[in-house]
Amino acid sequence: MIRYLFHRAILICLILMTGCTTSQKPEGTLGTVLVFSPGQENDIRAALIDIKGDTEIVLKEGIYRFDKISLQGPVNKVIFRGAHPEKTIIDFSGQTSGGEGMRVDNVTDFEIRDIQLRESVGDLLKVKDGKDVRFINVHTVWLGEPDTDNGGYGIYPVLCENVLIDGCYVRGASDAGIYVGQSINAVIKNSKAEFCVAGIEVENTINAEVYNNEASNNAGGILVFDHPGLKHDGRNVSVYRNHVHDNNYRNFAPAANSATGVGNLPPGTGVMVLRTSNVQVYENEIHHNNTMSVGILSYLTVDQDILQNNPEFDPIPRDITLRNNKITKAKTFPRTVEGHTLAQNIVNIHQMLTASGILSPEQGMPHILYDGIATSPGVNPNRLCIDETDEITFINLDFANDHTNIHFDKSLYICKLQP
Amino acid sequence: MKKVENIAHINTTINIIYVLCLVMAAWGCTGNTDREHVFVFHDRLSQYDFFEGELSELRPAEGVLRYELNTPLFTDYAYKARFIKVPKGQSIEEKSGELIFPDGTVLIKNFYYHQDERSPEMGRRIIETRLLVKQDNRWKAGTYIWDDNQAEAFKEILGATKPVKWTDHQGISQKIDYVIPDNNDCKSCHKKGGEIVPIGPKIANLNKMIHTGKKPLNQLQYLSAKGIIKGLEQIDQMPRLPVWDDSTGYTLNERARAYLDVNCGHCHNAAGPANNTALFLEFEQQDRFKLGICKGPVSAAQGSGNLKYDIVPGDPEASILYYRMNSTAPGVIMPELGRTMIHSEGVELIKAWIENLEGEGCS
Repeated sequence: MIRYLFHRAILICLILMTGCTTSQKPEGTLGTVLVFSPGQENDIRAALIDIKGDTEIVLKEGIYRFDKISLQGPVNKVIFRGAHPEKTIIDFSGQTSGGEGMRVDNVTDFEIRDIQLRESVGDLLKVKDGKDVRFINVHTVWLGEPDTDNGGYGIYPVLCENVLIDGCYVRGASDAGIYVGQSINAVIKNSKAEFCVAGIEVENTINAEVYNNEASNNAGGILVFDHPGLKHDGRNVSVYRNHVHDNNYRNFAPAANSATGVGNLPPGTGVMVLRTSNVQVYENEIHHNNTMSVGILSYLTVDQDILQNNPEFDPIPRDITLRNNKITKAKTFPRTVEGHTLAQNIVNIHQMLTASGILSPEQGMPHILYDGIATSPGVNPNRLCIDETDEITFINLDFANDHTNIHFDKSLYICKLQP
Repeated sequence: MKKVENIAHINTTINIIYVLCLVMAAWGCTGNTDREHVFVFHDRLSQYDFFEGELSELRPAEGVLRYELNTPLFTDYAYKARFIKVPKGQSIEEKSGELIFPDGTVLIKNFYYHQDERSPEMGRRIIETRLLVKQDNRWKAGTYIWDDNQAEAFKEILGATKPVKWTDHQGISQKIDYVIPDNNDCKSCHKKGGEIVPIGPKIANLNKMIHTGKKPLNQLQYLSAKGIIKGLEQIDQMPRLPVWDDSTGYTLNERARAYLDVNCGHCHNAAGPANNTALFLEFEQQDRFKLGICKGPVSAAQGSGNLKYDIVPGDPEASILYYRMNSTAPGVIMPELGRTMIHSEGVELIKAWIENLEGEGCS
């Protein structure tokens, strides 16, 4: 009897102890699960304010209306989920304050999934200073005709570590649909971006993989670039097996033609690599992006005064590889280039080349545009590597010398080190 | 008999094991997540006994001290009555220029409007009282909304919007929907390196002359004499934040930089919520590019207003900084939270500062 009591005491003790470790629980179940229905918006806000971590917030099907919502850590382990991105919808129409619809700061192990966010005045979903952040089956959408008044970014993790964006859909962003900024380790896959100014952007990010995505009908499809003065420069980015097509939509960014902003992105851009280093672009289908199918540019193309304004900044891209891509385009520029500074620049260069007989009239702008600005003279000092079939054409625009030494010889950019 | 005693004894032992187990299990549980910090905000402001007599008179009780700042954060022209309570027998300590507040410190900030700014004696209406409480080395925020007859203020974590009317110092009647932030909004400004921090009470901003008795007195001296702060030496050597609207005592540059520090620098610093922007506006900042001079925006989207640079010396109209301070449109307005009106005097100050900045344009 006594022995039995002892055993029972110890057994209960062990059960109690192990019950605490979440790893013992079935996967997908966190310590606290809070389930809400439409109409409980204030309860959801209160739950986000009181959140202690190890919590799953579930929004049942329906439309939820908020001015804005936020989740402010530090907090660990939070899942925020709907039933389905077409069925659980958070609508921020008529937002009166705040810089974003949903903001999530300082959360470790955060997952948002199976939900749609739409129609905020600012960005739709900003996650800052997060670690292990996952966006799965999330839609961020501005409906209707893409408009300058739409918010800037759809899915926007910034200063995060370990980011996964999988199966997401973004539409209508007046800057970038998916925008990973200043982060370390990011994967963007199986997602779709359309009718944004920029479909997918990877900015000042170290170690990123962008694959199996579709970017279409944006002004530009996929952008990898660095801005000056941020926490760190980007590097090690792979962009592969994406379908980047028909990105000829007008650039409806509010800061049209602004020096460094996305307003400077030429309508008709497929993939653009600006400034940054060690970027691999391979095995993509890049079709009908009719101004600049692929661009490799220094920061000087978008801000020629950057060295005066920030002498410490090195504007030159390095170690950029293009290989095994399929690229086709129309011979004529999209109509959306009209009135756009950088795009019009490219059009003017093309006109100059046809007028002087360098390009025949039936040749459109080549597929790969390189601004040719390098750190030093000589052949390929910054290790641009192009390994593409003969059908894929190339132009060095020689921006540094007012386009006086334009050439079309991509064999100068031999890949010495195959990845 | 003895046997029974024995069993009882063993039973007690088992019971002790149970209790120990439960304690250990509970301890193990809390050990797995962040430790629970149990500070519970009261439901009503009066429960704290911060004030004596009529609550709305805000007459500080023993141990509660009023303080002032050289340059305050603008909040839709609201007046602010600030108090601090440090636990009895304890003091704030200075450590390499920072104030280290003891656990249990409460900062109490009351937001109010005069009926008529030209004659304050006509009365005022307190809208909200915000508390920052330090507990277990962390700050926590709580907000109390005053009832219409000014008898009590009630805890509200979700924020609210209150219509407010007053007559301003020029005799113009003003009417706004005053926004009381929710608890997460509080955190989105009061943050450094992920943790809540106070914005106002820093040495430089507290370092000012105040009028408590017959003759003016340095506030740091006053707080030291009261035992609120200890260890301050050579107060006359302490840094002083300029007074943003004192054009006789400070230069245009000093006033503008103080204004930017308090109104923008709490987010726009390397550890603040706007550290993704590369625009850093603390008073100490000397790097022209980080100050936004001829710096392109990073992620401003529609906030950039079709302008190329944060600040163009000599040209406020071409400067995003001025554009965003001079707007009330969500997505454009800066600061993002805490104001619905344009602070004309502040905007004028920054305009004049940009006009007089060294350098012409941005190439």
